Amino acid sequence: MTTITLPNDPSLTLKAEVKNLDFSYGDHKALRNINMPIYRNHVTALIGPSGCGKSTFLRCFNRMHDLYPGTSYTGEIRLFPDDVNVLDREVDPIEVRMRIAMVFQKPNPFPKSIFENVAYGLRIRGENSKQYIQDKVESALQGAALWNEVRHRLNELAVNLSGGQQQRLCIARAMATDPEIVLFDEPTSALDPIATGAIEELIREIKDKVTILIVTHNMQQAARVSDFTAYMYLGDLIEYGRTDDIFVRPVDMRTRDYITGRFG
Amino acid sequence: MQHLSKQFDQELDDIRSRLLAMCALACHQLDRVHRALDTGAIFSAEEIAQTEREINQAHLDIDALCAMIIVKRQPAADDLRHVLASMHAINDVERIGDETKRTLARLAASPSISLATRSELANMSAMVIRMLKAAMESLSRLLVVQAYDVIRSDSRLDAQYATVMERLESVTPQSQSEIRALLDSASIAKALERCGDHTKNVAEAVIAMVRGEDVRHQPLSSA
Repeated sequence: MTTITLPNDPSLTLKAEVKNLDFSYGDHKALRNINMPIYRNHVTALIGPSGCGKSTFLRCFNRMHDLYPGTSYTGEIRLFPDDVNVLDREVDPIEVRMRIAMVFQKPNPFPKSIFENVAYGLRIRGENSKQYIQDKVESALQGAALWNEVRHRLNELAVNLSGGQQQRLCIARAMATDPEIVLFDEPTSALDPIATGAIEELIREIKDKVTILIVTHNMQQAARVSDFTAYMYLGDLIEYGRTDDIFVRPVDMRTRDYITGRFG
Repeated sequence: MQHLSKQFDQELDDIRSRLLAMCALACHQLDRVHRALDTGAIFSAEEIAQTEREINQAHLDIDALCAMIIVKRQPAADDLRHVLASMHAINDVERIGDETKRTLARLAASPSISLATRSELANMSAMVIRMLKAAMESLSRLLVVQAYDVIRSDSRLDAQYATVMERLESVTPQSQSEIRALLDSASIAKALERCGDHTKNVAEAVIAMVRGEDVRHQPLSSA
Protein backbone atom coordinates (compact mmCIF):
# COMPACT_ATOMS: atom_id res chain seq x y z
CA MET A 1 0.00 0.00 0.00
CA THR A 2 1.24 3.45 -0.86
CA THR A 3 0.71 6.49 1.33
CA ILE A 4 0.59 9.66 -0.74
CA THR A 5 0.01 12.89 1.14
CA LEU A 6 -0.70 15.59 -1.41
CA PRO A 7 0.07 19.13 -0.27
CA ASN A 8 -2.86 21.49 0.08
CA ASP A 9 -1.11 24.40 -1.59
CA PRO A 10 -2.70 26.07 -4.61
CA SER A 11 0.57 27.78 -5.50
CA LEU A 12 2.09 24.42 -6.51
CA THR A 13 1.94 23.50 -10.18
CA LEU A 14 2.61 20.13 -11.69
CA LYS A 15 5.69 19.76 -13.85
CA ALA A 16 5.21 16.04 -14.32
CA GLU A 17 2.93 13.29 -13.16
CA VAL A 18 3.75 9.62 -12.92
CA LYS A 19 0.76 7.37 -13.58
CA ASN A 20 0.61 3.61 -13.05
CA LEU A 21 4.27 3.19 -13.97
CA ASP A 22 5.64 -0.34 -14.19
CA PHE A 23 9.15 -1.08 -15.39
CA SER A 24 10.87 -4.41 -16.03
CA TYR A 25 14.38 -5.58 -16.80
CA GLY A 26 13.45 -8.68 -18.83
CA ASP A 27 11.31 -10.82 -16.50
CA HIS A 28 12.29 -8.87 -13.41
CA LYS A 29 9.76 -6.23 -12.48
CA ALA A 30 11.79 -3.39 -10.98
CA LEU A 31 8.98 -0.84 -10.50
CA ARG A 32 5.36 -1.56 -9.67
CA ASN A 33 2.46 0.79 -10.17
CA ILE A 34 4.18 4.04 -9.25
CA ASN A 35 1.92 7.09 -9.01
CA MET A 36 3.42 10.41 -8.00
CA PRO A 37 3.27 14.13 -8.72
CA ILE A 38 6.40 16.16 -9.50
CA TYR A 39 5.98 19.83 -8.62
CA ARG A 40 7.49 22.58 -10.73
CA ASN A 41 10.52 24.43 -9.29
CA HIS A 42 10.66 22.11 -6.33
CA VAL A 43 13.10 19.38 -5.35
CA THR A 44 11.78 15.84 -4.99
CA ALA A 45 14.08 13.36 -3.27
CA LEU A 46 13.90 9.62 -3.89
CA ILE A 47 15.16 7.59 -0.95
CA GLY A 48 15.27 3.91 -0.14
CA PRO A 49 17.68 1.03 0.37
CA SER A 50 19.91 -0.27 -2.43
CA GLY A 51 17.92 -2.13 -5.06
CA CYS A 52 14.62 -0.44 -4.21
CA GLY A 53 14.30 0.98 -7.73
CA LYS A 54 14.94 4.66 -7.12
CA SER A 55 17.67 5.01 -9.77
CA THR A 56 15.62 2.87 -12.13
CA PHE A 57 12.69 5.21 -11.54
CA LEU A 58 14.86 8.29 -12.11
CA ARG A 59 16.15 6.91 -15.40
CA CYS A 60 12.63 6.38 -16.70
CA PHE A 61 12.19 10.15 -16.84
CA ASN A 62 14.72 10.65 -19.64
CA ARG A 63 14.28 7.23 -21.24
CA MET A 64 17.79 6.11 -20.31
CA HIS A 65 16.55 2.51 -20.24
CA ASP A 66 15.91 2.70 -23.98
CA LEU A 67 19.66 2.33 -24.42
CA TYR A 68 19.53 -1.23 -23.06
CA PRO A 69 17.74 -4.21 -24.63
CA GLY A 70 15.06 -6.20 -22.81
CA THR A 71 13.62 -3.35 -20.80
CA SER A 72 9.95 -2.41 -20.86
CA TYR A 73 7.73 0.32 -19.48
CA THR A 74 4.00 0.51 -18.97
CA GLY A 75 2.14 3.48 -17.61
CA GLU A 76 2.88 7.14 -18.15
CA ILE A 77 5.12 9.98 -17.14
CA ARG A 78 3.28 13.07 -18.32
CA LEU A 79 5.28 16.23 -18.76
CA PHE A 80 3.56 19.59 -18.45
CA PRO A 81 2.53 22.14 -19.62
CA ASP A 82 2.16 20.31 -22.96
CA ASP A 83 0.91 17.11 -21.30
CA VAL A 84 3.12 14.76 -23.29
CA ASN A 85 3.81 11.20 -22.14
CA VAL A 86 7.59 10.92 -22.27
CA LEU A 87 7.36 7.12 -22.24
CA ASP A 88 5.31 7.09 -25.44
CA ARG A 89 7.32 5.26 -28.09
CA GLU A 90 6.24 7.92 -30.58
CA VAL A 91 8.09 10.53 -28.55
CA ASP A 92 11.74 10.91 -29.55
CA PRO A 93 13.97 10.07 -26.54
CA ILE A 94 16.57 12.58 -27.74
CA GLU A 95 13.89 15.26 -27.56
CA VAL A 96 13.02 14.06 -24.05
CA ARG A 97 16.66 14.30 -22.97
CA MET A 98 16.82 17.86 -24.30
CA ARG A 99 14.09 18.72 -21.83
CA ILE A 100 15.15 16.43 -19.00
CA ALA A 101 18.87 16.53 -18.22
CA MET A 102 20.80 14.25 -15.90
CA VAL A 103 23.76 14.53 -13.54
CA PHE A 104 25.37 11.26 -12.50
CA GLN A 105 26.93 9.88 -9.35
CA LYS A 106 30.47 10.14 -10.62
CA PRO A 107 31.46 13.36 -12.39
CA ASN A 108 31.80 12.50 -16.06
CA PRO A 109 33.28 15.44 -17.95
CA PHE A 110 34.02 14.80 -21.62
CA PRO A 111 37.71 14.64 -22.57
CA LYS A 112 37.44 18.18 -23.85
CA SER A 113 38.11 21.66 -22.55
CA ILE A 114 36.03 23.21 -19.80
CA PHE A 115 34.44 25.53 -22.36
CA GLU A 116 33.64 22.76 -24.82
CA ASN A 117 32.09 20.59 -22.11
CA VAL A 118 29.51 23.26 -21.40
CA ALA A 119 29.07 24.20 -25.06
CA TYR A 120 28.60 20.57 -26.11
CA GLY A 121 24.84 20.37 -25.73
CA LEU A 122 24.35 23.69 -27.48
CA ARG A 123 26.41 22.58 -30.46
CA ILE A 124 24.51 19.27 -30.67
CA ARG A 125 21.34 21.28 -30.68
CA GLY A 126 22.71 23.06 -33.80
CA GLU A 127 23.58 26.34 -32.18
CA ASN A 128 26.16 28.16 -34.36
CA SER A 129 26.35 31.68 -32.99
CA LYS A 130 29.74 32.05 -31.31
CA GLN A 131 28.57 34.94 -29.16
CA TYR A 132 25.43 33.10 -28.08
CA ILE A 133 27.44 30.02 -27.12
CA GLN A 134 29.97 32.15 -25.20
CA ASP A 135 27.19 33.90 -23.31
CA LYS A 136 25.43 30.65 -22.48
CA VAL A 137 28.65 28.97 -21.31
CA GLU A 138 29.47 31.92 -19.05
CA SER A 139 25.97 32.07 -17.66
CA ALA A 140 25.85 28.29 -17.05
CA LEU A 141 29.23 28.36 -15.30
CA GLN A 142 28.08 31.29 -13.19
CA GLY A 143 24.86 29.44 -12.39
CA ALA A 144 26.94 26.47 -11.28
CA ALA A 145 29.11 28.73 -9.07
CA LEU A 146 32.16 27.75 -11.09
CA TRP A 147 32.81 30.80 -13.25
CA ASN A 148 35.15 32.59 -10.84
CA GLU A 149 37.27 29.47 -10.47
CA VAL A 150 37.65 28.66 -14.18
CA ARG A 151 37.18 31.92 -16.10
CA HIS A 152 40.92 32.17 -16.85
CA ARG A 153 41.35 28.50 -17.75
CA LEU A 154 38.38 27.78 -19.99
CA ASN A 155 40.57 26.04 -22.56
CA GLU A 156 42.13 23.65 -20.07
CA LEU A 157 41.04 20.02 -20.01
CA ALA A 158 38.00 19.54 -17.75
CA VAL A 159 39.44 16.33 -16.30
CA ASN A 160 42.11 18.42 -14.57
CA LEU A 161 39.47 20.02 -12.31
CA SER A 162 38.90 18.68 -8.79
CA GLY A 163 36.05 16.18 -8.24
CA GLY A 164 33.75 18.85 -6.84
CA GLN A 165 34.56 21.25 -9.69
CA GLN A 166 33.98 18.48 -12.24
CA GLN A 167 30.54 17.79 -10.75
CA ARG A 168 29.65 21.48 -10.86
CA LEU A 169 30.88 21.51 -14.46
CA CYS A 170 28.53 18.63 -15.22
CA ILE A 171 25.69 20.63 -13.66
CA ALA A 172 26.67 23.64 -15.80
CA ARG A 173 26.70 21.37 -18.85
CA ALA A 174 23.24 20.10 -17.97
CA MET A 175 21.90 23.59 -17.33
CA ALA A 176 23.39 25.18 -20.48
CA THR A 177 20.63 23.81 -22.69
CA ASP A 178 17.87 25.19 -20.42
CA PRO A 179 16.31 21.87 -19.41
CA GLU A 180 12.94 21.80 -17.65
CA ILE A 181 13.85 18.99 -15.26
CA VAL A 182 17.27 17.95 -13.97
CA LEU A 183 17.73 14.42 -12.62
CA PHE A 184 20.48 13.98 -10.02
CA ASP A 185 21.58 10.40 -9.35
CA GLU A 186 23.51 10.48 -6.06
CA PRO A 187 25.42 13.57 -7.22
CA THR A 188 27.60 13.94 -4.14
CA SER A 189 28.40 10.38 -3.12
CA ALA A 190 31.92 10.69 -4.56
CA LEU A 191 32.58 14.13 -3.07
CA ASP A 192 34.00 15.45 0.21
CA PRO A 193 31.78 17.44 2.63
CA ILE A 194 32.88 20.84 1.30
CA ALA A 195 32.19 19.92 -2.33
CA THR A 196 28.93 18.27 -1.19
CA GLY A 197 27.87 21.49 0.53
CA ALA A 198 28.62 23.45 -2.66
CA ILE A 199 26.48 21.08 -4.76
CA GLU A 200 23.61 21.21 -2.26
CA GLU A 201 23.73 25.00 -2.28
CA LEU A 202 23.70 24.90 -6.07
CA ILE A 203 20.63 22.66 -6.08
CA ARG A 204 18.83 25.17 -3.86
CA GLU A 205 19.78 28.00 -6.23
CA ILE A 206 18.90 26.35 -9.54
CA LYS A 207 15.49 25.14 -8.44
CA ASP A 208 14.20 28.62 -9.25
CA LYS A 209 14.88 27.74 -12.89
CA VAL A 210 14.27 24.00 -13.07
CA THR A 211 12.42 21.15 -11.43
CA ILE A 212 14.71 18.69 -9.69
CA LEU A 213 14.57 14.99 -8.86
CA ILE A 214 17.39 13.67 -6.75
CA VAL A 215 18.28 10.13 -5.73
CA THR A 216 20.34 10.04 -2.58
CA HIS A 217 21.44 7.50 0.00
CA ASN A 218 22.17 10.33 2.38
CA MET A 219 18.95 10.97 4.25
CA GLN A 220 20.24 14.13 5.85
CA GLN A 221 20.92 15.39 2.35
CA ALA A 222 17.36 14.54 1.30
CA ALA A 223 16.10 16.38 4.39
CA ARG A 224 18.31 19.40 3.63
CA VAL A 225 17.73 19.91 -0.06
CA SER A 226 14.31 18.54 -0.93
CA ASP A 227 10.77 19.86 -0.64
CA PHE A 228 9.11 16.50 -1.23
CA THR A 229 10.36 13.01 -0.49
CA ALA A 230 9.38 9.62 -1.85
CA TYR A 231 10.40 6.47 -0.01
CA MET A 232 10.72 3.38 -2.21
CA TYR A 233 11.18 -0.25 -1.24
CA LEU A 234 11.49 -3.32 -3.47
CA GLY A 235 10.10 -1.51 -6.50
CA ASP A 236 7.11 -0.02 -4.70
CA LEU A 237 6.50 3.58 -3.75
CA ILE A 238 5.81 3.27 -0.03
CA GLU A 239 5.25 6.87 0.98
CA TYR A 240 5.30 10.30 -0.64
CA GLY A 241 4.81 13.63 1.06
CA ARG A 242 6.38 16.87 2.14
CA THR A 243 9.94 16.31 3.30
CA ASP A 244 9.22 18.00 6.64
CA ASP A 245 6.47 15.49 7.32
CA ILE A 246 8.30 12.42 6.05
CA PHE A 247 11.31 13.07 8.28
CA VAL A 248 9.40 14.11 11.40
CA ARG A 249 6.15 12.17 11.32
CA PRO A 250 6.11 9.51 8.60
CA VAL A 251 2.80 7.71 8.27
CA ASP A 252 4.02 4.29 7.13
CA MET A 253 6.04 2.23 9.62
CA ARG A 254 8.30 1.02 6.82
CA THR A 255 9.31 4.61 6.11
CA ARG A 256 9.90 5.23 9.81
CA ASP A 257 12.02 2.10 10.15
CA TYR A 258 14.17 3.10 7.20
CA ILE A 259 14.80 6.72 8.10
CA THR A 260 15.47 5.91 11.74
CA GLY A 261 17.78 3.01 10.93
CA ARG A 262 15.65 0.30 12.51
CA PHE A 263 15.46 -3.35 11.51
CA GLY A 264 13.70 -6.55 12.48
CA MET B 1 11.81 -2.48 16.66
CA GLN B 2 15.48 -1.89 17.38
CA HIS B 3 17.92 0.39 15.61
CA LEU B 4 20.81 -1.07 13.67
CA SER B 5 22.94 0.66 16.27
CA LYS B 6 22.17 -0.83 19.69
CA GLN B 7 24.06 2.03 21.27
CA PHE B 8 21.53 4.44 19.75
CA ASP B 9 18.73 2.46 21.42
CA GLN B 10 20.59 2.68 24.71
CA GLU B 11 21.15 6.42 24.32
CA LEU B 12 17.43 7.05 23.71
CA ASP B 13 16.50 4.83 26.68
CA ASP B 14 19.05 6.69 28.76
CA ILE B 15 17.42 10.04 27.96
CA ARG B 16 14.02 8.77 29.00
CA SER B 17 15.18 7.16 32.23
CA ARG B 18 17.18 10.27 33.18
CA LEU B 19 14.16 12.46 32.43
CA LEU B 20 12.00 10.22 34.63
CA ALA B 21 14.57 10.44 37.41
CA MET B 22 14.58 14.24 37.05
CA CYS B 23 10.77 14.26 37.26
CA ALA B 24 11.01 12.13 40.41
CA LEU B 25 13.29 14.74 41.99
CA ALA B 26 10.83 17.51 41.13
CA CYS B 27 8.04 15.36 42.53
CA HIS B 28 10.05 14.94 45.71
CA GLN B 29 10.32 18.74 46.08
CA LEU B 30 6.58 19.08 45.43
CA ASP B 31 5.92 16.47 48.09
CA ARG B 32 7.96 18.57 50.53
CA VAL B 33 5.82 21.58 49.63
CA HIS B 34 2.71 19.53 50.23
CA ARG B 35 3.88 18.24 53.60
CA ALA B 36 4.97 21.71 54.68
CA LEU B 37 1.48 22.98 53.85
CA ASP B 38 -0.44 20.00 55.14
CA THR B 39 1.42 19.13 58.34
CA GLY B 40 3.73 22.09 58.89
CA ALA B 41 6.74 19.89 58.22
CA ILE B 42 10.02 21.77 58.13
CA PHE B 43 12.91 20.90 55.81
CA SER B 44 16.47 22.08 56.09
CA ALA B 45 17.68 24.61 53.54
CA GLU B 46 20.54 22.27 52.69
CA GLU B 47 18.35 19.29 51.79
CA ILE B 48 16.14 21.52 49.63
CA ALA B 49 19.19 23.05 47.93
CA GLN B 50 20.72 19.60 47.39
CA THR B 51 17.64 18.35 45.51
CA GLU B 52 17.60 21.58 43.50
CA ARG B 53 21.24 21.05 42.56
CA GLU B 54 20.46 17.49 41.46
CA ILE B 55 17.59 18.74 39.29
CA ASN B 56 19.82 21.37 37.71
CA GLN B 57 22.57 18.83 37.08
CA ALA B 58 20.06 16.45 35.45
CA HIS B 59 18.91 19.37 33.28
CA LEU B 60 22.47 19.97 32.06
CA ASP B 61 23.26 16.27 31.62
CA ILE B 62 20.14 15.45 29.60
CA ASP B 63 20.58 18.59 27.51
CA ALA B 64 24.15 17.53 26.68
CA LEU B 65 23.03 13.98 25.93
CA CYS B 66 20.33 15.24 23.54
CA ALA B 67 22.82 17.54 21.79
CA MET B 68 25.24 14.64 21.40
CA ILE B 69 22.56 12.40 19.91
CA ILE B 70 21.64 15.12 17.41
CA VAL B 71 25.29 15.50 16.41
CA LYS B 72 26.12 11.79 16.24
CA ARG B 73 22.87 10.24 15.06
CA GLN B 74 20.96 12.94 13.16
CA PRO B 75 17.72 11.45 14.48
CA ALA B 76 14.55 11.47 12.38
CA ALA B 77 10.86 10.72 12.85
CA ASP B 78 9.98 9.39 16.33
CA ASP B 79 13.66 9.42 17.37
CA LEU B 80 13.84 13.13 16.56
CA ARG B 81 10.57 13.75 18.38
CA HIS B 82 11.85 11.80 21.36
CA VAL B 83 14.95 14.00 21.59
CA LEU B 84 13.14 17.30 20.97
CA ALA B 85 10.31 16.49 23.38
CA SER B 86 12.83 15.53 26.04
CA MET B 87 14.63 18.85 25.55
CA HIS B 88 11.33 20.69 26.02
CA ALA B 89 10.34 18.59 29.03
CA ILE B 90 13.59 19.10 30.96
CA ASN B 91 13.13 22.87 30.80
CA ASP B 92 9.70 22.51 32.38
CA VAL B 93 10.85 20.10 35.05
CA GLU B 94 13.74 22.43 35.90
CA ARG B 95 11.24 25.28 36.36
CA ILE B 96 9.16 23.10 38.68
CA GLY B 97 12.37 22.69 40.68
CA ASP B 98 12.81 26.49 40.82
CA GLU B 99 9.20 27.12 41.82
CA THR B 100 9.21 24.50 44.57
CA LYS B 101 12.52 25.72 45.99
CA ARG B 102 11.20 29.28 46.22
CA THR B 103 7.91 28.04 47.68
CA LEU B 104 9.67 26.01 50.37
CA ALA B 105 11.77 29.06 51.29
CA ARG B 106 8.65 31.22 51.44
CA LEU B 107 6.81 28.69 53.61
CA ALA B 108 9.73 28.50 56.03
CA ALA B 109 9.64 32.31 56.38
CA SER B 110 5.82 32.59 56.64
CA PRO B 111 4.55 30.77 59.70
CA SER B 112 1.46 33.01 59.92
CA ILE B 113 -0.43 31.66 56.87
CA SER B 114 -3.85 30.60 58.17
CA LEU B 115 -4.80 26.95 58.51
CA ALA B 116 -7.68 27.42 56.07
CA THR B 117 -5.36 28.86 53.42
CA ARG B 118 -2.77 26.15 54.06
CA SER B 119 -5.46 23.56 53.51
CA GLU B 120 -6.53 25.12 50.21
CA LEU B 121 -2.92 25.37 49.04
CA ALA B 122 -2.30 21.78 50.14
CA ASN B 123 -5.20 20.72 47.93
CA MET B 124 -3.50 22.48 45.03
CA SER B 125 -0.11 20.87 45.75
CA ALA B 126 -1.77 17.44 45.98
CA MET B 127 -3.35 18.04 42.57
CA VAL B 128 0.01 19.03 41.06
CA ILE B 129 1.68 15.94 42.53
CA ARG B 130 -1.02 13.71 41.03
CA MET B 131 -0.58 15.47 37.70
CA LEU B 132 3.19 15.07 37.71
CA LYS B 133 2.95 11.39 38.66
CA ALA B 134 0.47 10.83 35.82
CA ALA B 135 2.78 12.70 33.42
CA MET B 136 5.65 10.47 34.54
CA GLU B 137 3.51 7.38 34.01
CA SER B 138 2.56 8.59 30.53
CA LEU B 139 6.24 9.25 29.76
CA SER B 140 7.35 5.92 31.16
CA ARG B 141 4.80 3.88 29.23
CA LEU B 142 4.29 6.34 26.36
CA LEU B 143 0.57 6.56 27.11
CA VAL B 144 -1.10 9.38 25.22
CA VAL B 145 -4.48 8.94 26.96
CA GLN B 146 -2.88 9.58 30.32
CA ALA B 147 -1.08 12.62 28.95
CA TYR B 148 -4.44 14.07 27.87
CA ASP B 149 -5.75 13.42 31.40
CA VAL B 150 -2.91 15.58 32.72
CA ILE B 151 -3.89 18.40 30.35
CA ARG B 152 -7.49 18.18 31.57
CA SER B 153 -6.33 18.18 35.19
CA ASP B 154 -4.52 21.45 34.60
CA SER B 155 -7.85 23.12 33.82
CA ARG B 156 -9.16 21.92 37.19
CA LEU B 157 -6.03 23.21 38.89
CA ASP B 158 -6.50 26.60 37.21
CA ALA B 159 -10.08 26.68 38.51
CA GLN B 160 -8.83 25.84 42.01
CA TYR B 161 -6.23 28.61 41.74
CA ALA B 162 -8.95 31.10 40.74
CA THR B 163 -11.03 30.06 43.76
CA VAL B 164 -8.10 30.44 46.15
CA MET B 165 -7.22 33.87 44.74
CA GLU B 166 -10.82 35.00 44.95
CA ARG B 167 -10.96 34.06 48.61
CA LEU B 168 -7.60 35.70 49.35
CA GLU B 169 -8.82 38.90 47.68
CA SER B 170 -11.87 38.91 49.95
CA VAL B 171 -9.73 39.00 53.10
CA THR B 172 -9.08 42.37 54.73
CA PRO B 173 -5.74 42.13 56.50
CA GLN B 174 -5.62 43.57 60.00
CA SER B 175 -1.90 43.64 60.57
CA GLN B 176 1.46 43.76 58.90
CA SER B 177 1.91 40.00 59.42
CA GLU B 178 -1.50 39.29 57.83
CA ILE B 179 -0.53 41.37 54.79
CA ARG B 180 2.66 39.37 54.53
CA ALA B 181 0.79 36.07 54.92
CA LEU B 182 -1.68 37.06 52.20
CA LEU B 183 1.09 38.03 49.79
CA ASP B 184 2.97 34.79 50.49
CA SER B 185 -0.20 32.74 50.07
CA ALA B 186 -0.88 34.39 46.71
CA SER B 187 2.70 33.75 45.60
CA ILE B 188 2.53 30.10 46.65
CA ALA B 189 -0.81 29.65 44.87
CA LYS B 190 0.69 31.19 41.74
CA ALA B 191 3.79 28.96 42.00
CA LEU B 192 1.64 25.84 42.27
CA GLU B 193 -0.46 26.97 39.33
CA ARG B 194 2.77 27.45 37.33
CA CYS B 195 3.96 23.98 38.38
CA GLY B 196 0.70 22.67 36.95
CA ASP B 197 1.38 24.50 33.68
CA HIS B 198 4.88 23.02 33.48
CA THR B 199 3.50 19.54 34.19
CA LYS B 200 0.96 20.04 31.43
CA ASN B 201 3.84 20.98 29.11
CA VAL B 202 5.56 17.68 29.99
CA ALA B 203 2.36 15.83 29.07
CA GLU B 204 2.19 17.76 25.78
CA ALA B 205 5.80 16.73 25.10
CA VAL B 206 4.80 13.08 25.59
CA ILE B 207 2.00 13.48 23.03
CA ALA B 208 4.44 15.07 20.57
CA MET B 209 6.90 12.26 21.25
CA VAL B 210 4.40 9.45 20.70
CA ARG B 211 2.08 10.84 18.06
CA GLY B 212 4.02 13.65 16.43
CA GLU B 213 1.13 16.01 17.19
CA ASP B 214 1.83 19.46 18.52
CA VAL B 215 -1.01 20.20 20.94
CA ARG B 216 0.60 23.24 22.56
CA HIS B 217 -1.44 26.44 22.66
CA GLN B 218 -4.57 24.64 21.56
CA PRO B 219 -7.91 24.35 23.33
CA LEU B 220 -8.45 20.91 24.79
CA SER B 221 -11.32 20.16 22.40
CA SER B 222 -8.92 20.08 19.47
CA ALA B 223 -6.12 18.42 21.44
